[in-house]
Amino acid sequence: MSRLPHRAAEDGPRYPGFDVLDEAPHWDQATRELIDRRLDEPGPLRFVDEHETPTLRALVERLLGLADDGPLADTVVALVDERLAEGRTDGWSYADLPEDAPAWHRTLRDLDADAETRHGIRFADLSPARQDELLEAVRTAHRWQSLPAAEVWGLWIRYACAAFYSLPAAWYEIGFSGPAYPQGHKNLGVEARDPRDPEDHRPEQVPPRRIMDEDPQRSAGHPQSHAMRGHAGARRGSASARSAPRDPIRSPRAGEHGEADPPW
Amino acid sequence: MVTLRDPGTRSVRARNESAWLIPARPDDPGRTAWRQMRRFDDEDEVDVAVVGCGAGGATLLQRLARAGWRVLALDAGPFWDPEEDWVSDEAGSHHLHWTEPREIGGTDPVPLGSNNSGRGVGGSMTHYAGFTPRLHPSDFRTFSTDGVGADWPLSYADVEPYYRDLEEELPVAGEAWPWGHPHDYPHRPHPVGGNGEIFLRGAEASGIAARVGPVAISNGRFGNRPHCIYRGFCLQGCKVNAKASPLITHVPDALAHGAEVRPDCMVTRIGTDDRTGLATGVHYLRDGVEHFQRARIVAVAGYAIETPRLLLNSATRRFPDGLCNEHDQVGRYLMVQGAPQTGGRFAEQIRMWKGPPPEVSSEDFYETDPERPYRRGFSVQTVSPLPVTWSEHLSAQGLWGSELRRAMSDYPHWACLGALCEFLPQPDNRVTLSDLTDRHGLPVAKFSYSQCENDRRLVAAAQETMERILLAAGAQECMTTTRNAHLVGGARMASRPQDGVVDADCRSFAVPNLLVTDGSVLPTQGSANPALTIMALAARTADRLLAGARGGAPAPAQRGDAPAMRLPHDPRPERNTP
Repeated sequence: MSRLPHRAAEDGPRYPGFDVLDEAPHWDQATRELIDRRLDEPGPLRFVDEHETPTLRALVERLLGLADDGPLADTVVALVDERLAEGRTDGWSYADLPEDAPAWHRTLRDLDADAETRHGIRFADLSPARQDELLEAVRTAHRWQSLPAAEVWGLWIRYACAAFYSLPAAWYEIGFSGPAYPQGHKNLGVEARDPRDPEDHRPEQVPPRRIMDEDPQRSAGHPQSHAMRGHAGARRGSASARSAPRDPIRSPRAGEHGEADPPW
Repeated sequence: MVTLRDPGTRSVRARNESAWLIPARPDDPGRTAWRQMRRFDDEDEVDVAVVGCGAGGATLLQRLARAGWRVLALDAGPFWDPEEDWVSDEAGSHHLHWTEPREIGGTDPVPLGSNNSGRGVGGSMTHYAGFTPRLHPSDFRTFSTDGVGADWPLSYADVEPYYRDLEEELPVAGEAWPWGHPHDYPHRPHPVGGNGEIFLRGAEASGIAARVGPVAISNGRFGNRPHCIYRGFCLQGCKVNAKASPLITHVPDALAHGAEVRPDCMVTRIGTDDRTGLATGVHYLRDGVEHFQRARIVAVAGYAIETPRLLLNSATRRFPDGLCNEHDQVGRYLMVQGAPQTGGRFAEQIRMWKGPPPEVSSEDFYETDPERPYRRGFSVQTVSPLPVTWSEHLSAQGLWGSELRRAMSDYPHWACLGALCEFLPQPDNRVTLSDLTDRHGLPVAKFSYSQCENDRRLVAAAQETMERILLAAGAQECMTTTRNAHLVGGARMASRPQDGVVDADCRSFAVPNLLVTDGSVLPTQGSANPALTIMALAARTADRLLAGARGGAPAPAQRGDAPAMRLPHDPRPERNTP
C-alpha cells in the first residue's frame, strides 16, 4: 500500500507513534483495496481542462491549508476531479445553482474572473494572502458573480473536505483510528483506549475558533438565523457555538439569545 | 404499564426465518447462495408488483410471499453483497445513496442523497443509523389534541401489534421504554461508547431521562447473524450483518417463499387501463431496455420523493394530472425532521467513532408542553459523525484552511448529540416535476421546503436542550449545526380522498389496485426515526390484503388459505399454483 507523507504540525504531531496504515493488513479486502486505490499516484485529470487546473489546485490548497504539501494537494485535487468526472454527486442541487459539474466549471472560471477584476491576474497567480482574502469575500458575501455565495462556498468546501478527510494522512492528523472491520472496537467509553487508538499529546489544545464570527444575517436578528437552513457546511448562518458558562471569554450566550435561559 | 410478551406467541423464526437463511459468516464463500430465487416472466401476471425493496416494499413482499402470493419487487439499485460491496469508509460509501438528480428549493431547501435517500435492495435502512423508536399514541391525532398536523385514519392500537412483531424480527435492543406507550424490547441494551456515556452523564446531571436504545442491532447472536463488533460504521452499511435492514431481515424469507427481487430495474411508469381505471403493471428499464411487468396489484414503495414522482410521471388521458392526483394531493405534506446536531468539547478523549452512532436517546420533550411556545416536540439521540461529516460541522462554523485543519485535530475530544424535531406537515412542502430530466429522459423531482414558525422554535429549543445536556456532562464548549433528517409524507393516508392519496390500508383512493406502502403515507411524523413505523404499516397492509380487503382490486391467484374473489369484469382464467 502506497503512502502519503504525514504533515506534522510545527511543534510535532499531535498523535505521534500512530499510523493508521499500520492497521491496513487487518482491514477487510474491499476496504483495503479502496484505500489503496485512493493513494495511487494520481493519473491525468479528466474533469478540469488545462486552463482550469491551476485554479482548482490553488482553490483546494487554500480551502484546506495545503499549500506547502505538494503530494497531498495533488491527491486531493485528483480525488475532486475524479468525483466530478464520474458524476458522483450528492444527489441534489439547489434550484438557483447549476448542477454540480457545470457549477464547478463555472465557478472556477468566475474565480479567475474575480481575481482578474480585482488584481489583474488569475487566481492561481495571486499570493496566498490575496487568495485567502478573495475566498473570505466569497464566504461572507450574499451573492457572488450573480450566484448565491453560500451555495457556491458550500459546494467547494463539501467536495474539498470529502476528498481530504478520506485520506489516511488526514486521519493521522486528527487521531482517527480508521476502518475497523473485521476487528471492531473492544474498549468502549470515555478515555477507554484500545491498543491501536492514537493518544493525544496536546490534549489541552482547544483550537482557535471562528465560530463567533458575526454573520450579518445573525447579528441582524434575522428570523432565518436560527432556522439554519440546509446541509451542514452548505450554508453560512447555519451554525452557532456556545461555551461553558464558566468560561466567560468564550461565552456568547447572552449576546446570541438575549437571555441565558429562555422561557422554554 | 409495560406490555408483557405473550409466551404463547409463535417464535420469530416461525414467522420470519431470514436470520437463519443467511450464512453465519458474512465472508462465507457461499454467502449469496440464499439468493437463488424464482423468476417471473414479464408476461406472468404476478399478484403484486412492488416498486422499491426497502423498509416498506420488502416487508410487504415477505408477508405476501409467506401467504403464497406471487410477488415481485423491482428495485432501481443493486442487490448488495455487504462483504464485497460495502467498506469501512465514509467517502467510499457514496453508492449506498440515491444520487440521481433532484432539484431542491423553497426557503429552507432540504439536501437529499446521502442525507436521507437509499439505493438498492434494503433501501435507506442499509445506511440508517439503526434507531427504531415507535411513534407515540398522540402522533395519530395531533390535529384533535394539539390543533396542528393531521389526524390519521388509524390509531396507535391499530399499529401496535405490528410494532411488536417487527421489533422481534429486526430485533431491537434497548432498555424498557417509559415514553409514549411504555413497552420493553426483545434484546437487552448494548454497552455504550464514549458518546453514549456523555449523554447518560449529562442527562442525569440535568434531570432529563435518557435510555439506551432502541436500536435494531442484535445484542447477541440472532439466527446466523453475529453480535455487533462496535466498529462504528453503521451509516456505511453494516458488513457484520448485526444491524437490521430488509436485505437481511425480510428479503431472505421472502425469496425462500417464492418471491422474486429484481434489482437494477428502474420503474418509469405505472401502467393503467384508461377504460377500467385499474393498474395493469409497471413499465421499467433494465440495462436501458424497456420492459413491462404485468401485475394484478401494484404497490409503490419508492419513498417520499420517488413515489410522488412516479405517480406524477404516470399520467394518462384518464389521469391527466398524474395517478391518484384528482384532488391535487400527490407530493404534498412532505416532511423532514429538523435535526440540529450539537457537539460538546471535553477535556477527556471521547473517541465518539468507537461504537454504533445510535446508542442513547431521550423522548422527554416529545409531547406538547403547554408551558412552551410551540406545539409537539423533539427527541434527542446520540449521533457520532465520522471525519468527513465532522468536517462539515466545523466548516459550517465558518472554519476553512489551516484553521479548519487545526480544529479537526481536536476530533477525539468531541461528543455529539442530534435532535429530531417534529416539523409540521404543510401543503406547499411538496414534490412536483422539474423541467430537468434524468439520464432516462424522465422529469426529475423538484422538492420545495419551507419551515414554519413552530418548526423554527422547535429547533431552537432542541439546541438549548442538547447544550444543557452537554454542559452538564462537563463540556468546555458547544457548537451546533443544523441539518434535516428523514423524509415522510407526500402521498399521505387520510379518511377521504380530498385530504390524501391513500386510505388507512394504504390503498389509493383513485386506483383500487394501486397501493402505496412506504414512508410517504405518514400524515405526521412525530420525533421518531421512521423505519419501524414504515415497516409496521406495510405489515399491516399485508394483513389487510390477506384478509380480503382489496376494495375492488383483482384477487390473487387461488392458493393456500388466501381468499380469492374474482371481479365480474376480470376476463382472466384462474391461475393454478405452480
